This record gives sequence, C-alpha cells and structure tokens, in this order.
Amino acid sequence: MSFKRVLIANRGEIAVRIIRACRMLGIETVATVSDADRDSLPARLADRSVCIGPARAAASYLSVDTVVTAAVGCGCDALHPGYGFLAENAALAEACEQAGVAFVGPRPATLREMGNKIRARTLAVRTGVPVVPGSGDVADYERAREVVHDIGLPILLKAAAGGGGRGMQVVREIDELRGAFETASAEARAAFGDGTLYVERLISNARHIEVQILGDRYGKVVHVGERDCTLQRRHQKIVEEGPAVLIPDRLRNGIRQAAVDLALSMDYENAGTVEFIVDQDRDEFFFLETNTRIQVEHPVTEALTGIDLVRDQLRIAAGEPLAFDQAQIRLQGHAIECRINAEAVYDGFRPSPGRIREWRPPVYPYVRLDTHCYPGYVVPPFYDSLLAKLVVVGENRAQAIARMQRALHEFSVDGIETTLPFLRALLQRPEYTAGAVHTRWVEAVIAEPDFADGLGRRDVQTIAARQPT
Amino acid sequence: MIARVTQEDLVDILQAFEASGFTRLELTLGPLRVAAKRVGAADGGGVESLASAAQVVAPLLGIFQAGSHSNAPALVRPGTRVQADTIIGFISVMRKLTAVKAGRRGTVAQVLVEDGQFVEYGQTLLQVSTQSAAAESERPESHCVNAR
Repeated sequence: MSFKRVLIANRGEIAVRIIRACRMLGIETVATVSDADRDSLPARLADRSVCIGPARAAASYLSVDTVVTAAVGCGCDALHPGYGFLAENAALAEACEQAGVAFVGPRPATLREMGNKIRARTLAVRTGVPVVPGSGDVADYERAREVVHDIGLPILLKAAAGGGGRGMQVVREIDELRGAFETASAEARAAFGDGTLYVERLISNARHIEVQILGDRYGKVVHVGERDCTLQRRHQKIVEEGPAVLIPDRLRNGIRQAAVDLALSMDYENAGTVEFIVDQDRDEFFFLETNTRIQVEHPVTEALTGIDLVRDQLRIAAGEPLAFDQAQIRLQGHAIECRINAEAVYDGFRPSPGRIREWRPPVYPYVRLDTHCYPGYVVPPFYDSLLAKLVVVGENRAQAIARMQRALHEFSVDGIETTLPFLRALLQRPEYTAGAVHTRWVEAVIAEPDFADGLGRRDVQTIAARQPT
Repeated sequence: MIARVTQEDLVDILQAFEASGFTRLELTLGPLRVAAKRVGAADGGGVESLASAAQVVAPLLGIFQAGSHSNAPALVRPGTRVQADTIIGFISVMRKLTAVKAGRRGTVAQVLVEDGQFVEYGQTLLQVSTQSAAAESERPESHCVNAR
C-alpha cells in the first residue's frame, strides 16, 4: 500500500526534499504555505499549494488544527511534518490519527515519552543505556561531598526546582565545593523558593555523536550509522559529518548498539535519532535525548549509505516493512555537511533576509545541495535562516575536507549576507582538520578577536564597490 | 501629421502607461482613439466615478459555512445590503467557528464560494460593491477602440 497524496506541513529546503521523495514514489504533493511563502520553491514544485495563514508561524505552520484541516480539505491520506514547527508534536500526530490521515513519524505515545527529558532519561536507565552521571536531590553539603566522591570532578550544581542557569555552579576543585554549594543553594532558594540542588558530572571535552535509526511497525529496528555534530554554536549545529572516525571503535559500536536497544525498548516506528555525548577525556558515552523526526543533517547518512531516509519514512508510515537488514547497510567513505545560513557573522550572526541577487553553488559529482533558494528569491524575515545544506563525500575524511573546502570557496552568493565566509575560515583551522575539537570549540574560535574581524566585512566592501552609483 | 500606428506602437504605448503609475489613459492619434484603465485601480476624484468591488477574503483556512448553523439558509446572497460588521458566513476549523464580517458597507455583488467548501487563507469569498448602482454600468477593464 502506498499513499496517494501527501500534505507537506513545512517550508524551505525540507519541503523541497519531501516533495522530491514523494515524486520518486509517484505520490502527489500538497505544499502548505504561509502568506509569505506563496511564491516559494516548494509552492512551485508541489502538485498543489494551499495557503494556510499569515506569515506569522503561530497562525500558519504552528497551527495543528489548520494543517490537519488542510490535509483533509485537500484530500491527503498522509501528512509529513518535516523538522521543527510541529514535527515532534504529539497533538498533531493524534489529530491526524483522528482525521484518518497518516502521520509520517513515530506514534503519538513515542513523541510524548521522548519529549519529556526526565521520562526519556528514566527509559534509558531502565534499558541499560548510560546517562550523564549525577545524583538525585541533594539537600546539604555533606551529601554533595559524597556524590562528588562517587562521580568525580568537575561537576555542575543545578537547582532541582528550576532552570535557566540560576542556581548553577561549576566545581572543578574539591575545596571550591562548599562555597559553590552555598551560593547555588541560596540562589535556588531565592529564585525558586527551594534550595535543593542536584549534581551532574561536567563534561568539558565533549563530542556530540548521534545515531540514525529506522524502525518499522513490525518490531524491526536498524541503525544507519552515526553522525558527529560536535561543531555547534549555542546548541545549533553548524557542521555535521559521518561516520564518527574520531572516536575509538569500541565507543562507536557501543553507541550504535545503545541506540538500537533504546529504540527497540519503545517499539520505535519511523525515522529517529538518538543523541549521545562522548567524554573524550574518559572515553565514555552518555545518552542525551531522542529526536523523533527526520533531522536537518540526514543527508550525511544518505550520502554514506545510499539509503533515501525520507522515502523510507513514507514507506514505513504506509505500513510497509523495512526492506533491508542491518547486515545490508554499508557505510562507504566520509561525508560532511555545512549549513549555510542567511546571517552576518561579523555582526554577531545577525539575520540577513532579503533578495538573493546571485546564487552560484559549486557543481561536482561529489556535491549535494539541499536548498529552496535560487537567484531572485527573497528570503523572508519570519523564519529560520537556513538557506542550504552543502554536502560532500570523499573516500576518507581528509579527501572529504579538501572537497568541502573547495566547494565552499566556489559557492558564490550575493545580495544577502551568508555564513559562507565563516564556514570557509572554520574548516581551514588545523584543530578541525586534526579533529581536536569539542562542543564549545566553535564558540571559543568566534571569541578570538582576529577570527571574527576578517569575516564578511571585506565581502561587504567588495559588494559595495561593485554596485553602480 | 501622424504616421500610421502599428500594433507594436500600440503595445509600447500601453506598456508605457502600465509603467507610469497613472490609472487612466485617453489618447487620440488621428483616426485612432485609445482608452485604457488600470484593472482594479481605485479611481480617486476622476471625471466619473467607477464602480469598485471590494473583496471579502477568508481570514483563515477552513471550511466555509454560509449559514448560522450547518443547515441554515445563507446569511447573504447577491443583492444583500451589508454593513462593515455584518456577518457574511463562518470558517469552521476542527468544529471551531470563526465569524467573517463584510468589513465595509455596500451590496453583495457576487458570492464565490459554496456552503461546505474548503477555503484557503486569503481566498476571496465574495465581492461587495461599495458604489451606487448608477456607476456600476461601466466595468473597470482595459479596452482599445479603433474609431476609424
């Protein structure tokens, strides 16, 4: 059984990606667009587009009732939510179920379980998957000392009752513990009316590794390799690559198995990603969270395996069993993805919407570009700044890096500011090529006065000089 | 003396008019008379007042309901006089109803959607004529007359 018509409840490059997957399966597509996206590429590529509301996402892309009504009104038998917006919204999955529209994603119960961090952590512990070592509630200094004795230093003290950084203290030396505990506890009491703390190990030299999984309705789960997403800024991924060749084999295999175990324990259906943090000083890994959707960086996995993840999402949602076994999945070569955003890096990553005057991506057999942009397209100011995902493959990491460097240098965009100059500079750094990085490395590089200075301004001047007066 | 006006000349003239920002054009070139008016342009203080039909659009996506409940007669039909706050129908989304108001004073000229029809955000539901009936005879469209 296959779907006849799919509603795409998203915009931008992922909407284009889903339309293409549907087209290859012979499925009709209906693109949902806000008033600001009426002339967008998804609207033109889809068999039909339907305007679901004003530019403001809360009244369009984020309205569960509206997208379900659109699906029913347009005669769709399935809805693909993409990523972001309503992708992990259990209420949408339930509303689809009630309306007789298949939701292309996990079951509502899975979305609910994994959406709750504490329940997800509990499930991981029950499955035997390691979580970041920590304590339960710690009411006094003596108890904190015992916990530190068990899990080691450095640690993070956090307010049990709240978040947002208040009541949070880093402790690196044991003689700092008493002072830090009293400060954190007092802050927590002031902010949340409860001075109870909890202790968590601080992993300062961390890598972010995540495993792509696929599960069908009949209890079969496979992993499709992992991605290394250590290059981040403010928890936003910037560069992703795979496979994770920079961690020991033993760890990589352990992480893959943990992801499959966790997925099996919840009868995971459809595509998902299990995220882990790797402590590079101790060679240990810990479960972070499960993302119950197709991810931005899924092309890395597709480039390595030849598996079309969006196509498989559609097949699984239509009730088909997985067409391959774990042993048939082979990862070949090395893949890197760079996210190109409409942002002025030299100005604190200020968003830079506007008309794209020139758009010239590199063309090579080893390059893939996922984008909704074209010359003349106006990037609207209402949504996230992702313009394109540039993906390259190589036989090994060194070749992939060299190819990515060349592709970035050849990519030419004019009219708006992009993160291309930033990516070029970042991927030239010896720490990146050597793999000597951690999750806060990008922020440390940006903080270097010389680094940010050379970015973009020169490009802006060049553009200004070229403009006729 | 004026040379014979070719079809290309005429296209150039109309393109120049379109780019000009003016709303009306009247031109006599020997035996040829050209008259054009920009479609949908509001004619402010011209020689004669043309009819203007205002569109009432769907404020959200959903199912159009013409009556006050699912089997009730339509609230408005062509010829119905409306005020700005007259409810002309409802949009139903997951059984929640949102009233749609006419938004201006006038007469319903045309109803473009049927009861129970799925409508998009911004889709035209009906047209309200906001001018007197006397001005409605002249239609706002571009025309070209060869008066030779």
